[in-house]
Amino acid sequence: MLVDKHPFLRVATHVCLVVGILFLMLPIYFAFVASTHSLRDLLTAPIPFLPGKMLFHNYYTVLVKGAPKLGVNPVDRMLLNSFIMAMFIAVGKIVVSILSAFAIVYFRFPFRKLCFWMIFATLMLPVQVRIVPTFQIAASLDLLNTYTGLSLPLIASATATFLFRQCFLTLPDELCDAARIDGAGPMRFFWNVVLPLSKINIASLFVIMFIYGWNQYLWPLVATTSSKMSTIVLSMQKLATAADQIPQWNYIMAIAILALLVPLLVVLVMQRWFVKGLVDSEK
Amino acid sequence: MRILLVIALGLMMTLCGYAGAQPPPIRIVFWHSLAGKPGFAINKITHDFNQSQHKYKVINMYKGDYNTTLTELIAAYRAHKQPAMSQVLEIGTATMMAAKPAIVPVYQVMQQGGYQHFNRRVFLPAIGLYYSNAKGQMMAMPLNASSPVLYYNKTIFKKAGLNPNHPPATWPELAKDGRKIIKAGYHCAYTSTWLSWIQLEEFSAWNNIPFTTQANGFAGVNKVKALYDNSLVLKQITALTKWEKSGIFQYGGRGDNAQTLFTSGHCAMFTQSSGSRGSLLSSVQFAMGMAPMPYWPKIKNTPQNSIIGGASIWVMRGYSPKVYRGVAAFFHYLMRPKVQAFWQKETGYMVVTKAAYKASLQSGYYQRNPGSDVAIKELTNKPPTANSRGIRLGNYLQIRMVNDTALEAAFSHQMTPKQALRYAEKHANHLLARFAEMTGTSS
Amino acid sequence: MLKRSHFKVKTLAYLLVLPQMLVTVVFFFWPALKAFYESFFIEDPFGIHHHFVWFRNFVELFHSSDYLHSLFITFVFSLAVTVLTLFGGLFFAVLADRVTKGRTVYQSLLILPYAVAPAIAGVLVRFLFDPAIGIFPYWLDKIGYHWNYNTHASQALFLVIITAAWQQISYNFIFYLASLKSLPHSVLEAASLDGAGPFRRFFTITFPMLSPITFFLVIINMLYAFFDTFGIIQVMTQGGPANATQTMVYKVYQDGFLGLDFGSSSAQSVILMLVIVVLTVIQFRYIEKKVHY
Repeated sequence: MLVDKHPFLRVATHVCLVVGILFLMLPIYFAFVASTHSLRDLLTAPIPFLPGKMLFHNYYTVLVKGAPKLGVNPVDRMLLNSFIMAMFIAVGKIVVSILSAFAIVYFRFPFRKLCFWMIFATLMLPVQVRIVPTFQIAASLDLLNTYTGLSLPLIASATATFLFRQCFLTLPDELCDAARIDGAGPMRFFWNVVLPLSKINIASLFVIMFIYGWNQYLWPLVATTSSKMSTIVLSMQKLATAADQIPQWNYIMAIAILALLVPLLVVLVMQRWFVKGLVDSEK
Repeated sequence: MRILLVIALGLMMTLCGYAGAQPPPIRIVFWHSLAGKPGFAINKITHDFNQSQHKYKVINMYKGDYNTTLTELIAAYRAHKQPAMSQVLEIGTATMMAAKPAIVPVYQVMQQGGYQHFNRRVFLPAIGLYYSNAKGQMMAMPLNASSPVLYYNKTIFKKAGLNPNHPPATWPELAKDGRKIIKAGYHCAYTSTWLSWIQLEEFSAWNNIPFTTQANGFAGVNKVKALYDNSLVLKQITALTKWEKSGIFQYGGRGDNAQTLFTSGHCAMFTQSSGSRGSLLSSVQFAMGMAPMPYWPKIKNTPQNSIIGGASIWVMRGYSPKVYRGVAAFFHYLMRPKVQAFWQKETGYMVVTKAAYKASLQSGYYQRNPGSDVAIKELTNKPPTANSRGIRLGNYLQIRMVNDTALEAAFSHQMTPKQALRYAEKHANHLLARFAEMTGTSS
Repeated sequence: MLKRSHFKVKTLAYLLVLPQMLVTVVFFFWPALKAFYESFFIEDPFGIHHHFVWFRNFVELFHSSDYLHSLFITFVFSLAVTVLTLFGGLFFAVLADRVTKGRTVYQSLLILPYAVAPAIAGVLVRFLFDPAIGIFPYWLDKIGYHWNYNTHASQALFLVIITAAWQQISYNFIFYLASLKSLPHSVLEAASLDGAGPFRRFFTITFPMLSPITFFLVIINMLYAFFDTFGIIQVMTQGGPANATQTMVYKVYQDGFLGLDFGSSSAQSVILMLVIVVLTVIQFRYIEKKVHY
């Protein structure tokens, strides 16, 4: 780090950062404020700047009680669905990718290159591009409105596979040689040597994939119709675009805060792994 | 020895018990899109039907909104997993009718179920005609029917010096009342929801002009062309854009979005589906009145009659005759005047059969619930003409989106009314031609 | 690439790749092929009538003013989002790189928007800009500017652009910060000793050295704007008003799921696949080639 000769610039840097961050945090802050007021307070312009007194009432209503007359279903089930889906996707992606990366790097078998390129091709097929036919296929396999249907189509990941492949390629050959001399089979080698050495990558990928899974929107939108299977991010769409009535902004914002709280905490707590995972997976 | 006898007797009785016991009821799955009050009502009706007999059991499944349900129905059909019955929104009628191998027409279901007296004339004329084919045979079972009506804020009327029991009957009257309302200090006199449905489709029927060729699509799928780029529709849209400038009219967005302009007291009047009557009554803080849609005077035969909005039940192919007999029994139950009256009272949708309408009139239901008969009176105002039987178009949802886009452009002054209507007609014709191709009926 | 030291047990290898291959074939290739196949047909929603029409669906798309409009909107949208996120991310990264005190706090806060799902971001920003109760329309009204993005096309487009940019800035920030940290300080120190001020150093040395990562981020931001912004548009404007925010991905959804025109929707998907192929090829050809200093 170069030592700054200009204290003015140093102060200016801090000021710019603080102002910029304030602007960035504005939507989240106001959402939180709105979630702690009654609807009436929010309907009279301008909306209040400071949090109100309805925090417990609003969050309790939204989480447990619900307000069925207003079209607000309790979201505890949806939080659970989001969690299950995110875990399924994150764990699924990691397991599937690490196994196939291991196979592609450490085994010689016919069609090895074909497998590699097929996996690569999936980079060019994000779910948005194949949304209608994937939906039709999921429907014909009876996967709609199931956890499997929510998660399985999103599990094959090229980025995770490539990250693991890269990681394995940098492992010294001597490790494998040693294992073979010891008479260890490939899976023993995998379990005792490769896996422990990949721990950090697994952790960082897990963070990224969990957030990716939690924030999924388009696929859950078409793959679930039952409110029992709805995810919390998806519940936003139903409430915010609810036609018949004035949007219940205080409840909508409470649900929004709940929806972003989990990934937010994950990012904050696992920040270092998260950043590493992002940066590494794009190399 | 005696023990053996007792055991034998016991076995015999059990066997007799089994022989006399009834087989489990035949399950019939019914997909629908009714939430809130209509959802409760349909579940109660189904429950009562199941309780009233033991042969069939109808199982309701809420599948999401109309579009979601239709998409899933199609996906299910393609995967050979379709339900026996499904509710389909009224604008999906052409799509369903074109899918002959996928459906069983309701008239066939009722005939095979033994209900020989069932035919189109059981229903109110506009409703029966809407869902019947060229031969007048019923293809679908009407479930929820509504029409657009004019809701108005009686409090504002009083404050503006207007008679709260005398809502405007024609568009010029609406403009006159609107000017008084603006003078009294209000910022908006009139708005409308569902612009394509109300200002183009229902407008055409109510004022007895054709919407498209081929009798609004009833005469066939092929060569249907939009006709709503005409002088009367132009007059209407031009009037609305003119009123926008003086504040009489305010555009409130697509679909139901404009409803909050009325419920918040901002706009004094608005046109919306009669089906919203119940939820409006419970959410407005002022005295509310209902009236028929305004019409243009000095046009021949206006006002004519309104077309129904809403949805109907379609029967899907692929089940045994036993199941269809159960479907017929369910439909028969649905048409009972008592069930119809319950449905009307709980939801605000109309009764669909003549018998139920008569019964409601006789029971004084409409007197006790002012405004609840505006829609049904609109529907039965005059015998339907070729312009007011209904509108049956393919790709109807996309046509509505195109029309909404065009009207939006007109109201946000990106296009003149003439340009907007020309844009709408051009795109609608393209969609209609494509539908003819999609269903293999283009020449 | 195969390691020098490897195994030759074939069946085990097949078992290991099987899960990924299975999911890839069933949920990636089969749908892609289906989309490809259906793009050559015109069929009714139920699939009862369908006939082969060669490239008609594609030809009709390019003759359709609506589709061309969505191409234009997508282009404008992704260009605006890319530029905004690049500048925003770089701005914050440069600032964060310079400070020592409170760096972790700044970094943590700047990363937060990434955790917010696009659909949620849409709801949050929509609340601030709602014509009826939003705080920004309230202030704008005071200076005489009437805000209603439900009826003004350009306002709606502006709104989805800033929402998408807000959401994606963190991503650019992270990458720029990581790149700045890995820049060789010797060059910068030499320049400083030569008397170059901080701004001069930045524009003549730092910024050019960031060009590989900038190029990479351009591709990533474009892919984000094309594909991951569906949630934002759905929640805020549903493609309106009057198709002003109807991007290509949104149109695929509308025509497929609402319009039930699978032929047209599939053709649009195929075109999107081509777009992404081009972008991915560019990414891997030109970026992977660049060597880090």
